[in-house]
Amino acid sequence: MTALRLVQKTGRGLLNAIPLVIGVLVLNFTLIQLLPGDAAEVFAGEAGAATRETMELLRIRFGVDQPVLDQLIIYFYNLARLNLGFSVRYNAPVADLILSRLSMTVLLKLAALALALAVGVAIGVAMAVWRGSWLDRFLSALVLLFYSTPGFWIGLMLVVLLSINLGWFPPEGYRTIGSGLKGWAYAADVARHMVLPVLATATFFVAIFARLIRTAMIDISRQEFVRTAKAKGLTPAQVNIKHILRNALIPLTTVTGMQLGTLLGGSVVIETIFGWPGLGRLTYEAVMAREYVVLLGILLMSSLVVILANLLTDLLQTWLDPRIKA
Amino acid sequence: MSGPEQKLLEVDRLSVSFGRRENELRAVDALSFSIGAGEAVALVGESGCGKSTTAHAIMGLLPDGATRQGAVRFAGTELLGASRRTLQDIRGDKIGMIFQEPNSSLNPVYRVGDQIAEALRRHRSLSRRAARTRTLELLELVRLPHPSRQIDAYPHQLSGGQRQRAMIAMAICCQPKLLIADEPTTALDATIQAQIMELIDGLRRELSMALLLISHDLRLVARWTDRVVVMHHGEKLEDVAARELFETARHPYTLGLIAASVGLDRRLHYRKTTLAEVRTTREPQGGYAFAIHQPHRVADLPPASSETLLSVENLVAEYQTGSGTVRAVDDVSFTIKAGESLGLVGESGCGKSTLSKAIMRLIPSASGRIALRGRDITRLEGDELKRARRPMQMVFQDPYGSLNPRRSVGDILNATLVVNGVASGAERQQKIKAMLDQVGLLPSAIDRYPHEFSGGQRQRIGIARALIVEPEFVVCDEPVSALDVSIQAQILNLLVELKASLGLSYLFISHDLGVVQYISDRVMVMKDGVIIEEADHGTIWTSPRQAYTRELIAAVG
Repeated sequence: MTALRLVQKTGRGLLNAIPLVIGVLVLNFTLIQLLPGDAAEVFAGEAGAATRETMELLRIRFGVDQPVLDQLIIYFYNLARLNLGFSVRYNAPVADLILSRLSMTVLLKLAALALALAVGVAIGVAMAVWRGSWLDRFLSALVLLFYSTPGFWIGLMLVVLLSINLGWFPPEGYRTIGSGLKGWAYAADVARHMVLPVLATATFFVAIFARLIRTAMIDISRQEFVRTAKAKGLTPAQVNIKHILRNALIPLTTVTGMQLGTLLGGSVVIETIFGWPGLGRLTYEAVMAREYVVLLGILLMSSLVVILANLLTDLLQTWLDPRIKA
Repeated sequence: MSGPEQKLLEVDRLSVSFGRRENELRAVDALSFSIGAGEAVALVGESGCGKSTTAHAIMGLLPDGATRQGAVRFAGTELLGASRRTLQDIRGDKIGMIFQEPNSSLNPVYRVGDQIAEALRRHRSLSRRAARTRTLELLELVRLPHPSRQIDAYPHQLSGGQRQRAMIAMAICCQPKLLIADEPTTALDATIQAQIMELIDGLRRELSMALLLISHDLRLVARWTDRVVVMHHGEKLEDVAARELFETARHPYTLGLIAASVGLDRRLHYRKTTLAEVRTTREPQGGYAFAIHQPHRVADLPPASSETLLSVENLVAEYQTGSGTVRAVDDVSFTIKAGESLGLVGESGCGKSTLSKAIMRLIPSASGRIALRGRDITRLEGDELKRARRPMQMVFQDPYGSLNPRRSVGDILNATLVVNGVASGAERQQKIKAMLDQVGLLPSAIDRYPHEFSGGQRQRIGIARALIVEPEFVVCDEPVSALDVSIQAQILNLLVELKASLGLSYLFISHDLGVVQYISDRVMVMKDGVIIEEADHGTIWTSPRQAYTRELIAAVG
């Protein structure tokens, strides 16, 4: 019964997503058409010069010789056959291009999210349990610092300190080029490259989660069932973790779900600083090159990821809060 | 009652205060009482008298900012200075506690059975399986229906009474020596109240527990305890045997509370008598003086006329839930004559509030007809509805929630007049002053905000807001349910006085039979959206026709 309703809920969510995705694609296609210049002009511009004939050929090659509406119809026709198109610029199918970048983004951002959750919740619990103490005040100041300092600046400082001065972690890239590492050694190498971008991304979210958990736990600690838990003779640790924190996880899920969408869109600044081949940089490059095939592919993928993240959040909340019906 | 044997609980000159220095608020002031093993003692008093604070002090559950003095000895152990560890071991094991709100006193994310098992396993080394078996026994003991199924239910899947049963099972799981029950039935319907008190009383005898019952309800404590400690402003006023509470109480405050209460058995009616009011005045030395004041009866209470003011015919109101349409008001018909006061009683969820909202056109009716002075208002919209609705006003239950906290009393009343088309500013000011005077508030109230008033004063503001547009018909939806007995008497007297001076007709909705008995000329009983019985105030209490009405009367009698 519940399993069936869960499936129904998932199905309904996905069905509702279809018009949304089409809307996103049409809107962004229109926006990119409004920009001056097309992919062929940018390409020719980078080459320095081009004859009229070369331009014609380039336009045919990029597919921008057709009327605008036809381009969109052709794009949707291909999409229906699960073909995202071919990027002339990168000389690769758009799907492959995005998937390779997406996996790098997901790796980086999920690691950052996991770290931010672990550290943020720990700090939040400490602040709530010892609220008003010097520890609370110290952590609050730290969290405020994390909240107000831009990630890229923290990133740059981390590079200066941990990479240039101490030499502990590589400052950029995602692997040691030409090392030919395989298996666990390769994984360890990627992990070492991930440390700095993960830290730079996580700090802001540590602040968000810590503040959220602190507020939620203080709110919940005033609820009557907490008094019941104390009246049962439970220890403060049992009351704080099993009764207060457990209920604070419900608002945490909502916020995490909202952040998950933004996180997976990638971040141009962090990826640029650390030379990380993620979706953010690809998006930026696609816009600058006016290559709408790539851009629409990215947008399609991102909207799917956001929808998936929302769906996951819904399911997680249903699981965490028995009052929500599946 | 004091024997030579050691008392189970001895509270000795207990004082509790919150805040520091000039902001210090003394909630409990040198309170002493004791409870013998197996004895049932009540702490009774109005809100803010310190009865709950006393219970929390005994359990060591006071908030961090509280300062405590005196002594609380439980079975020879001093609790006030005891270590956290000692207190944690005593709580839930030697002393169990149940609270007022069964809705919020259980953790919403855990199954009921798991919450009981958690308390068991905290104090007894039991395996998971053994704890579950014991939990099931406990749920049977508190007579929760279908225990083997309900053990896996979440709190929101149980009714209020069932949740309170689960709370009781949790509190007695380790067979405590003392059970503290803080207003255990206040949030429940009358019929459920009686069942829960019977259960607590039965368990007390079966498990030979002592009981500390905390309540505002004199009748309840007189019926279910051995001894009653009456409290006011943190102080004990008297300590009397419960059986003789109504006969031997000496203290003027206790006598005042008895006189002000509107129990069904007292057969009070507004056309015959006013309600006594307890007047408390603070003496310059810091003490309190108490006096009973019986207002004069309003002489010229006209009998209800034969003219029909409001008629409701075959009214149906529905609302949608996840699982379908619920018919909250099902084919209801009645009339109210001009100058009449019609009482509507029923338990929570019976549809009485939905009915009142449908009459006020605050929610749509699915079918039926509402006519005010012969004019059909069921389908009016816009300006027409606004004009037609003007002679009808509403007074709500919650004097805290129904006034905008960011607007002064003058603004609230002024806005009501503006909406109802009183154009001249001077006229509005004059009406506001006159209205405040009529409901017994000082003119200075105009510039003050709702939070600056007490609960009773706020209800006076709510009444002023309803009456300032000079209605003929007022729906009072549980107007005194959130108020203390002494304040309740004042508000009921005020409503009667205003009815006479302004020629009002009331639809008076309440779950409290005593209140409805006092203020109604005619009474309707509602159950599951249907009016099951309607009779004159003289006959319904003495010869009810329906079994359900008899059940309601028996539950409070």
